[in-house]
Amino acid sequence: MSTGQVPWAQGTDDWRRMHPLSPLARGWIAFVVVIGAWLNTVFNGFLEDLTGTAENSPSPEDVPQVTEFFVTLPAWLLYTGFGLAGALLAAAGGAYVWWFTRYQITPTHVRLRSGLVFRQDRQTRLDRVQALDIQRPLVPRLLGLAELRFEVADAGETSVALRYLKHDDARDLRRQLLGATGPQVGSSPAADSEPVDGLVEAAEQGDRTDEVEILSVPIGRALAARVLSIPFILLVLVLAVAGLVSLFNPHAIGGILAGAVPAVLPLAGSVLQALEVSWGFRMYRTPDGLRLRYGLLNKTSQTVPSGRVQAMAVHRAPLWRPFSWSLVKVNVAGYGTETGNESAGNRSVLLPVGTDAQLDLLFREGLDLPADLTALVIEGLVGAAKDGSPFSSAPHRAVWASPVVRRRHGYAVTPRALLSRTGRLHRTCHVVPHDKVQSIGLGRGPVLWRLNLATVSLHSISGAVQPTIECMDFAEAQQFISDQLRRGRPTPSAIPQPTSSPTRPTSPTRPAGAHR
Amino acid sequence: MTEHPDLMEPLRAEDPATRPEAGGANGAEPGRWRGVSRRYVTVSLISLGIWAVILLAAMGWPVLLKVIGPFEGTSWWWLLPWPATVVVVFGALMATTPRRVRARCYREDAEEFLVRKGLWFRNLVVIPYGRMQYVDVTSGPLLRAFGLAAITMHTASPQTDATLPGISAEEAGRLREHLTERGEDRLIEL
Repeated sequence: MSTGQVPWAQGTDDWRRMHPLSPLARGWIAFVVVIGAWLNTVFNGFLEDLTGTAENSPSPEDVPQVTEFFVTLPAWLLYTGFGLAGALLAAAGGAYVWWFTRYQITPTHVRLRSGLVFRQDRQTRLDRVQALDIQRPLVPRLLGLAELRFEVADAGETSVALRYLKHDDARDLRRQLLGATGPQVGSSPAADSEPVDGLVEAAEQGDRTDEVEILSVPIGRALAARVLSIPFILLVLVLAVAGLVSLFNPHAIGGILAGAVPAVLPLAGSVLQALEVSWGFRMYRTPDGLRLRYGLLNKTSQTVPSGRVQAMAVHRAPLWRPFSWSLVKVNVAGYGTETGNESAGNRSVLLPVGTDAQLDLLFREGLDLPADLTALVIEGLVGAAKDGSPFSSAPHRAVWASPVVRRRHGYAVTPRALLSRTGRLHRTCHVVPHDKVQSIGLGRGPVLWRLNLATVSLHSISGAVQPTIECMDFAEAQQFISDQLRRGRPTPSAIPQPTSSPTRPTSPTRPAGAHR
Repeated sequence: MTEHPDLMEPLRAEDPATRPEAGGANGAEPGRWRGVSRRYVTVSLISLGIWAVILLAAMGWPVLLKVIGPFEGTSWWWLLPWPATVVVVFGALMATTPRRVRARCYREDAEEFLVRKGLWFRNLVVIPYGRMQYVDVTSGPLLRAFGLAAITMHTASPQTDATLPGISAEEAGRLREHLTERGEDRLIEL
């Protein structure tokens, strides 16, 4: 493979296998367990044989005839046999997986075929690959292997991962593929090193000279917003009830603790997490997008590339209404769904608690959205069905399916985006640019069917925002879908113009992977 | 997509589109619904049957113990409802299987691919070709024994739930090539 040429497949039947050491790299835990167990038992067996203190070994009279033979063998021999059998089984399994896992790279596609009993055949187009990354976990690294990942923008899932190739081969292949496909395929800046979390970098890192502050959240408001949030009120209620009960019935403290702790922990966690993201929150405008700085315990700096915002949701909690505060969440391409990361839940927050004026500032200054959008979003938060509203609303018969929220279900269409609103107590307004809708779903259960209604969902990339329009008239929904599809189609002569269209990728030379 | 009043209607039994095997490999004409393979009814029934047997074994062993002795003192009222529930639920599922399989169908339009499923909870997903990221073709032992395969269309959204669980292997291959090819022509940047 290091001939300087991409190993294009010679015909459709030219398949390649991974490096023969891959099963070891993939299943090393199984090997370690087997070897560890073997060492442990053999060592113990030796000790017992040597010292003659095999007190636990069952006496021959207790066991049936068939197992007598095995019991009389020295223990270490027995366990070595088991260990060998286990290792052989694991090796056979690994070899099986390795043998039936094959890949093929053609000038346009990469294909991965795996399994014999449960076959999977996956292919992806090279021009769909957002990033071509090399990853080297510890054990493959010790074996001189590397994983080549073809990242596509899917549900945070790698489309094709070649596990594992020789490191040099993987590097050559990556370089040649990048050369072959030109600027379409991006690569992470940290592609050939340890995985680095590029989005949450240290607060000190990066120059602040090109930052222009747009808005900030005062600490008083951050605290007040938490106090007025549902999780905090529930937390106080649970604690108050637990306190009162244990005051009048001191014997039950153990039971009360056992009951209250599982309720208190997640509530307190969610309050603290939300406080973390709103504490000292500041938003700056930079050439790369919006930079957010916040944090109570961890000072965090996060860059949101504004061109890669795919959908936005503006929420207003019930008790925030007197103050007109709102929370803005976004789906950003490339964030994926990283779990295990403490701040993963905060990454989708674009504005933790902002006033209407700040909402306007964010839309116009931060995201370069049209000026009339703010008024529409606020109407989406406070308005309800009435004549002359820019939002269409659910028909009257929807009362039977959704008596409380009926007057709030609705949508509005602007030249560039679709807005949908819902929620009576906790109010929500979604904004999705037409050209960011991946697919459209239409669903109805038995009740909606009786009422001749349907629910339309606009599928955005994975993230906290999932826009839906509930209780639409069925005929209207069909018309809406066909209109929405038309609005989502790219115009034939569309040339990406970064300045005029902030919802498009910032420029073709900065592919998605470059930000990761 | 043109305006069809029947976006959610399942195919009827007499609709020729429910017999894709008979049509030959002439490809789909745009704007016309095609069902999944008739053979998938058998596959569904077999797999439902396997599950029913497993659940019956899990729920029904006390009944057996009562018949042969140890649970003699226990009332039938304690023992029978569980296996009876399994029988009723799976009976209903099996009885509606042909209709549910007919409700699974797809349509290739000029610009979009449409997938439909469900009887009581009907569902339609419309995917513009340019949004398709990749296409998965999978087949387990049971599907393969009937010459079938499952095909799943993926966009950048995890909500896109577009799976055709039982189409013939040739049709799956044709669809995969076709969809990939169409997606290439209409590729939309994320």
